[in-house]
Amino acid sequence: MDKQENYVKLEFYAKDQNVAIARLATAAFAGEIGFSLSDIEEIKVAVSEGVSNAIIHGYGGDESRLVEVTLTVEKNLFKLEIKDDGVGIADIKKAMEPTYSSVAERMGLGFVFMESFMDTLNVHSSLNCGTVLLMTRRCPHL
Amino acid sequence: MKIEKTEKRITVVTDGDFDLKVCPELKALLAVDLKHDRSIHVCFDLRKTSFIDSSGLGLILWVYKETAPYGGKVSVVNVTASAEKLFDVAGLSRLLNIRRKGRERLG
Ligand SMILES: Nc1ncnc2c1ncn2[C@@H]1O[C@H](COP(=O)(O)OP(=O)(O)OP(=O)(O)O)[C@@H](O)[C@H]1O
Ligand SMILES: [Mg+2]
Repeated sequence: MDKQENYVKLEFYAKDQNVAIARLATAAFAGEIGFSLSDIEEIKVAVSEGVSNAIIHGYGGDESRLVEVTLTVEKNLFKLEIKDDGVGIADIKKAMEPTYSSVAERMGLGFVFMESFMDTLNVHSSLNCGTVLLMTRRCPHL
Repeated sequence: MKIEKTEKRITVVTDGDFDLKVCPELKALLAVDLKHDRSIHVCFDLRKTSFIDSSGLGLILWVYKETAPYGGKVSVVNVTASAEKLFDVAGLSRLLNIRRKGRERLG
């Protein structure tokens, strides 16, 4: 196996304290790949947004549900996948519009941050079928 | 987290993570203060904050919306370079008074 190739999967209750755990595990994974500290800060924001959305929107506060974060690195590409089995998104295009939020007191910035801090973001979702986010970022040349 | 109050100013020193976990509690605390006086200056001091995301930014913007129409003011001081990027991407740098770490002045 390629020296850099790696895979880690986390599964956790949809509790707000687990957002930090997902961030720390992802930061450690990205650090191992050789991302710089400022890159890691950006990657932490991306994972934090995706996991927070799963907890807030996907599961609407039901802490007994499960969120899955999968970290992969292969062929110089870092992949971050965040999955929930929650309510899903009816209109993905609208949901991804900057400042759109279905919750009055939120700003609708999560997708904006995920898009600006990762190279690619793909959203797979439909109503009542959960949501899968797939983000990638090129690894640094070492 | 520490909240210091004077007659004209509330200073919120958040520590560690300024994220989904701490926001509801902080918001409830500030809501009580803002009920008394919305023309106040709220200063978020991020010197001890190691992480902030849209939840934290959302809370700061909420305070802005609560106070601005009443002549209040929001400032965010001791912001790290990575946090500053978030305020920029969010387009909040124009709206709020944001000062980088080490560049804090009095007032
Ligand atoms: N995992 C999810 N399940 C269901 N709906 C989602 C999910 N993620 C996002 N959404 C929908 O997409 C909208 C936009 O998400 P985004 O993260 O950009 O903004 P927000 O979470 O509403 O606000 P902020 O991230 O600024 O706190 C949400 O308001 C919600 O309606
Ligand atoms: Mg969000």
